[in-house]
Amino acid sequence: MRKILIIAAFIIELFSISKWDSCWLFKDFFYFTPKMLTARVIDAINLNRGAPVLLTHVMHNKFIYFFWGGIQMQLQYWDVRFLQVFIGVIGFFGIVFIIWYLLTGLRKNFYVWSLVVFYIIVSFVEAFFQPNIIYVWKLVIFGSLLELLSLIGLWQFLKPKSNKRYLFIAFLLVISVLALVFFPLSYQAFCLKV
Amino acid sequence: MKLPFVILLFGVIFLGAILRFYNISNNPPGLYLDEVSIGLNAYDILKTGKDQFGISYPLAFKSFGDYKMPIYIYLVSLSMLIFGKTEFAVRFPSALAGTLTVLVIFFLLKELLENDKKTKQIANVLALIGSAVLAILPWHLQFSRGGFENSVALLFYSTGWLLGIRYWKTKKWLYLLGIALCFCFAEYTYQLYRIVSPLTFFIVAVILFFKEKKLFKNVLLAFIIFIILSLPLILFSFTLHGQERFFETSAFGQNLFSKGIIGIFRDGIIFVNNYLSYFSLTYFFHLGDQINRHQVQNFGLLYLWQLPFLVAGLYFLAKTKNALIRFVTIFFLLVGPIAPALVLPSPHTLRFLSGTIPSTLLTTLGIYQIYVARIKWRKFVFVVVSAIVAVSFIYFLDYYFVQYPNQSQIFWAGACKQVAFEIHKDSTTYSHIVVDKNLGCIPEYFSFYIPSIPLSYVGTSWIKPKTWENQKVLYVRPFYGNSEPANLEKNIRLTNVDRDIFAQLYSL
Repeated sequence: MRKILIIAAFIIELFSISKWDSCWLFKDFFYFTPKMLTARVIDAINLNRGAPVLLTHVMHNKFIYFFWGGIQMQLQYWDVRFLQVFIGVIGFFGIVFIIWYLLTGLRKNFYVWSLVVFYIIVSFVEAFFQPNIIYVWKLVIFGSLLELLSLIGLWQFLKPKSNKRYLFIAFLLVISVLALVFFPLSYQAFCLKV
Repeated sequence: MKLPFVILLFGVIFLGAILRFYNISNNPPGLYLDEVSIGLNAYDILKTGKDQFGISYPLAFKSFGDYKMPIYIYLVSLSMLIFGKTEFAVRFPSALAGTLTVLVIFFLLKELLENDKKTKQIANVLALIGSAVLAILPWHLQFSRGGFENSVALLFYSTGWLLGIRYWKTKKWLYLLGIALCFCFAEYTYQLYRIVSPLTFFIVAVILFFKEKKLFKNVLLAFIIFIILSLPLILFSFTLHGQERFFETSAFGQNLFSKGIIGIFRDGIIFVNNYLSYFSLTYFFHLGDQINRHQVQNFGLLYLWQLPFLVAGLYFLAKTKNALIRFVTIFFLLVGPIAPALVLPSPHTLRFLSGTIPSTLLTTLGIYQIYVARIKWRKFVFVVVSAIVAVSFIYFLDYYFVQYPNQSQIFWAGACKQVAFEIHKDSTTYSHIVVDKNLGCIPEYFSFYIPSIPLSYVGTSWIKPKTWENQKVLYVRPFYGNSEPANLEKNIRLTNVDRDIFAQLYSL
């Protein structure tokens, strides 16, 4: 039963990702390029009218905003609204499960941690440098990493062989399929179409 | 509680009050549409006992496109009795409720943590930390400082929960009556609680039916009292006016729900999508719901430092044997977004204001979880985390009190307030004051700020009539591209980065 559910999840996630093929770039909120960093700092300085100049310089500078904005941007790549469209509702729950297992039980699982760290690095590179790589390759990299993580998460969740858990995953699979059927174009909220 | 602790608690409440009351007349930088409507209705009730439309002490107040629940408006009436017809009076009940919610959270956390052997000994300290977190929480501050009814409704709702826990522990009847009253008041304060309050009763009753049949009977009785008290509102909900707001904002189109099996499935998916959007990380920590009135731009609803504590708090909930704290936190977390997910836009920060409660609870539990974990260099970690919390708070103060008034003026109709004051300044020197209908300030704004000055509203192509030739006319119109036209008296500029011109005053 577990294998069947995992295979079904794999197919649905793959189908969700394949839809993104008709785009050519992620939308702007996935990026935090040096230009955006500069613009945000300038905006903050301009809006700080009335505050002491020294305080403004100490608080609103590129160094601090790089970290702050960088973390905020990173959250976009783990966001439920993005993940449920990119790898489907089932995929999103798989990611939730794997994060949960990493934080609670599988502390020593080097390979899974490596995947997470790699995803963080890849998303940071994409967001900050916007590398000139063919979009499909980006999809392959992001898609395979997230799908792998999600499937491991689902696998871990289904390990106890409980009927309740099987039923819950089956329910999520149905929701994912229905979401794909009724809202096939929802990915357009996150990427620019060709 | 010992005296030093009481002083500390008082300090936290005082901090919460300062943050909520400081300069609320000018920041947010103007009254938004709903606040103006509340203010005008409240003033009319105070002076005549009738609302803007001549109805005596109504149960629901007609507003812009919907009907408002009455309690907040009556509270503003009381506030206007003391402070007059001012912005402060409109926002006072909300700010006061926000401050009191900080106190309620202290007692709520105390009750919950005292229910467990492990946390019992430091329940007071943790509860104090929790109330301090809520006192400085950007999300809660934002809505306490505006004239938002939900701020008061949340006070009633969380007090209802506090009384519920007291009832659970003491089994005293008085608390049951208190719950019914609080949930009922919440309903009469903000639309959303017409769903949330009965839903809360229903879910708690179902759980008790299976777990504690003795308590179930009592809760059912409280529910009946609640229903009796809610009867006028229930009857109102079945009228066209009562359903107007829901149909306007429904996530499922013009009908209550779509028809047919396919329609039901489609609505189900819309609901799931909306519901999940309330758990978005960018929503909490970066962009919010992107309605400028609901958060400071780019700051998020919660502090970034809360993220690891939220995760640790979830871990605590998974491992704890304290079923009560687990139930209350998860209830707030999972049931809170149900009603807001039925309507659009989603996520909507105001409608999910109850989310401030679980985020505060989880942060506090997370702090406890990390505190008891075996961490190396504990003191060093404590100093670093404290520094990050302090710096984040300073950033929030800068963002909210320095940047926000400049950045958000247009969204709070602050420029309309500026125009009203300019008109007021010069009103005696002009025989007529004429306002272009396209200015972007509805007449109600001027009725609130300058009710005694008669204004004429005209179209864009208006020219001074010949009969007024020898009379001085002040003509107010939006900026149509020429920054220094003939007869210009003054440009009214926004306080945004580009200092855009919002309106132009002509002396004709």
